[in-house]
Amino acid sequence: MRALTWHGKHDMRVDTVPDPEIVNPRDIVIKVTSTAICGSDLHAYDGMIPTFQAGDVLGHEFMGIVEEVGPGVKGKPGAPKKGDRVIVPFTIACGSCFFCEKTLFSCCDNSNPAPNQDIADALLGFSPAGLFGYSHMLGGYAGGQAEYARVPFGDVGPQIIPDGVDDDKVLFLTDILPTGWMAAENAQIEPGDTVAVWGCGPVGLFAVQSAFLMGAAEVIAIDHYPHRLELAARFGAKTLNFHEVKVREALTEMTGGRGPDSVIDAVGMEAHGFSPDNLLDFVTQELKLGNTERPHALREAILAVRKGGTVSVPGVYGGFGQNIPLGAIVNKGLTLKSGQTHVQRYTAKLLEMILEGTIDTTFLISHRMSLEDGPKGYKGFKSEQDKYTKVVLKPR
Amino acid sequence: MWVLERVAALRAREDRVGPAAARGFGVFSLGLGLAELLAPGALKGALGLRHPSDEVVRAAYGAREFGVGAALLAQPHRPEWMWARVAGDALDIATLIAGDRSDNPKRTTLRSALAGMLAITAADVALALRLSRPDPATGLFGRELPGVARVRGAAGMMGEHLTKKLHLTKKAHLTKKAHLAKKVLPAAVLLARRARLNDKRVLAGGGAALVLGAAAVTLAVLNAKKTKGGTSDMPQKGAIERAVTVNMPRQALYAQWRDFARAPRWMEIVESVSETGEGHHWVVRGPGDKRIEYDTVITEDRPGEVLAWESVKGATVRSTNRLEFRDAPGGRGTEIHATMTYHPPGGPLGKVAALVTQKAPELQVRRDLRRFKQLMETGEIATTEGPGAAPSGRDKVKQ
Ligand SMILES: NC(=O)c1ccc[n+]([C@@H]2O[C@H](COP(=O)([O-])OP(=O)(O)OC[C@H]3O[C@@H](n4cnc5c(N)ncnc54)[C@H](O)[C@@H]3O)[C@@H](O)[C@H]2O)c1
Ligand SMILES: [Zn+2]
Ligand SMILES: [Zn+2]
Repeated sequence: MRALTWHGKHDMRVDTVPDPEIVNPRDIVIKVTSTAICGSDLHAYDGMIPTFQAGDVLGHEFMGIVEEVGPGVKGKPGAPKKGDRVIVPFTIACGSCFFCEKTLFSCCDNSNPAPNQDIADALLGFSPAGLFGYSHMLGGYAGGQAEYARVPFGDVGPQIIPDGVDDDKVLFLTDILPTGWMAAENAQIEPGDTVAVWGCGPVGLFAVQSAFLMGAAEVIAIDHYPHRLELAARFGAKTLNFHEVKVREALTEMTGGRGPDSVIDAVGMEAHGFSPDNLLDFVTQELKLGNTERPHALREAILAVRKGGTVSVPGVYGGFGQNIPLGAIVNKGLTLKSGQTHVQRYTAKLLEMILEGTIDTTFLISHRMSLEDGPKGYKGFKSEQDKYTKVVLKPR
Repeated sequence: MWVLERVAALRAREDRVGPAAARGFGVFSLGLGLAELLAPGALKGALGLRHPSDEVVRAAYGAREFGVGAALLAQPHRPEWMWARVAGDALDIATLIAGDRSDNPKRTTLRSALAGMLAITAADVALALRLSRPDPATGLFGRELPGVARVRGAAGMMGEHLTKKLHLTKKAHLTKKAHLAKKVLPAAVLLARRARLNDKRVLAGGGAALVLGAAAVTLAVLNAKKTKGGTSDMPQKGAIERAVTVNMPRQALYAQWRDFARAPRWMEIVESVSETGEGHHWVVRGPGDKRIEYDTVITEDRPGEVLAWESVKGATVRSTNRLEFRDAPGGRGTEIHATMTYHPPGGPLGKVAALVTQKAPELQVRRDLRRFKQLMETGEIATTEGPGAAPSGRDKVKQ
């Protein structure tokens, strides 16, 4: 089959690779009909995520038609059958361990193979769930930017999509929609709150929508791309362009000197901007001097949030950052919540909201391309972010 | 790129940053040193490095990083300390190169580390050079700055190029090491020539290295005395202890283990286990996939609580194994505490062979326990091995 593979920093290729197979009883194989490029994929594209290997198939936002089901899935009530259309959560979860029982699906104990867990143990203390196409530390699974994909625990993760609903409408259930939703949930929003969101990429934009749905009176969206800010404004957010204003001053001003009740970092480890802290991060990150992150947005968010407020971090960080304002966390009495999204917790509910028309998803897609043009998609999504808000790839 | 322009702008001011940078490197050293001292195993485990006296070596490395870091912090102007760092870097690189074997499953990680290490070394060398030569006219450090930038850039590129090469080539690793030497040596010689150290400095550096070495050994000995694990009621000398919690009742888990013939399902190196009448006959794959066979007898058997077995007298492998099944607090299932000792055939050499081929018991026990847990909790064992389980561009198909 054809698949989009990672060969190093800024080197994506389309290779012909072996077809995936049913290996474990609870596997299913799906024929991919749509797959998207995620901001997380860009971290990998930039060579920022450790333990990728040349040839790895990328992609963790994908959906398609069930081609084959393993003996452990066949005939199980509610489990997908051959021919069903499904979306696949990017977090691989067994459904029966301590963590899955607590719906902490991205912390599943059993989806990362034992040898790969050793790597995660060393870097993170304990191994989280395996993810599709997202490094060997997180399982070494092949991703879904391909014609076919093997999906472990096919009876737990995939959500069946009713006939007649367009791929474009439901594809983002795989990751960024639940991620934006969980980001807002983690922000512990109370009715009347003001929420500030750093980053108007797909995750930030869904966080903006979700925050309003959860009762925020005001949402302030921060980025430097006019078109992305405009999209946030379309959902009712006030916007700040960090190239034009000093973000912290502006936020304090806009909230009558109180500061936002909750802040969301939807930027992650590769913040943009010329602030001195970001430049220092850039140099030490590039030279690998003990620093793997550029957490400028997180720093700003921690300082901007009101006393006793909540900091929600959907943005991805991979290793060790420097100069986090710990004093502000302690002395302002902040709550910090984060995590890879527990996608399985939200898919059914969010699917319903999409079908009811409560949540808009298709506004995001700026580019549709064939899988063969995948490398171009990466390049555009990386370097022309104002034009490229989301790239959807179609195999074949 | 915009950031590079900014960096270039910053460089204008860098004439005075020599000592400040050295202090920065010092902090970094301290951090790394502490990490190596306090989290033994973590760093090396991540890289798939193994060594018969891992404890000691690791602690020594930690102490070395730590010592140099402290010295640099105290005296950022003294080039000796920077040179001591460079020497330490060389040691790290040597260790990493030694771990660069085809059987090392974490080879990629290791190689990224190697590339990182080469870059760091270059930076260190550059700084050391700069500190070694203050401008005679102004007395300021940093006359070497453009040179530093060049050396750093070149080394960075070399690292990048090297890793790329290493990833792609499938030549024997000896050839790779030769390649590496070919590339690194001329650079090192060049750097050394440019350094033109005088005798005083060499002496001072040597002295410092000695003092640090002594400190390292002391700390290593202290650290090696710490016991690992410490959860078992019956600690044994040289025993490996690992624990896992399984979301199931004790009896069911015990029953699975008690049926020894099932063991190959989750014990990676075990090929088969059969009943012998008095006990069991084990066939395992040792280093070099050599088959090793030995017999064991059950020494303790309390259903749902304890299962222990050991090799019979005169067996090729001497091993003792004990599993304790305890209720996890708060109804969280069962804790399995495994304690084992394992002496493969061939004495100390056999042990080294086992370590070198990742058939080391400490690795195996943890992985086997996890595989067992996965099998019990999900009915299968997670895997991404083989092209069917995880297709990749490494297994190209003819078009
Ligand atoms: N937790 C999860 O499970 C999960 C899932 C998906 C994505 N993510 C992460 O969320 C983050 C965002 O993902 P995305 O798909 O929206 O990516 P994206 O790259 O499209 O968006 C990031 C946005 O942040 C903006 N930005 C950069 N620096 C900024 C700054 N200093 N202040 C304000 N805005 C800034 C960029 O201009 C861009 O619009 C990434 O780190 C991604 O890895 C996490
Ligand atoms: Zn994603
Ligand atoms: Zn689980």
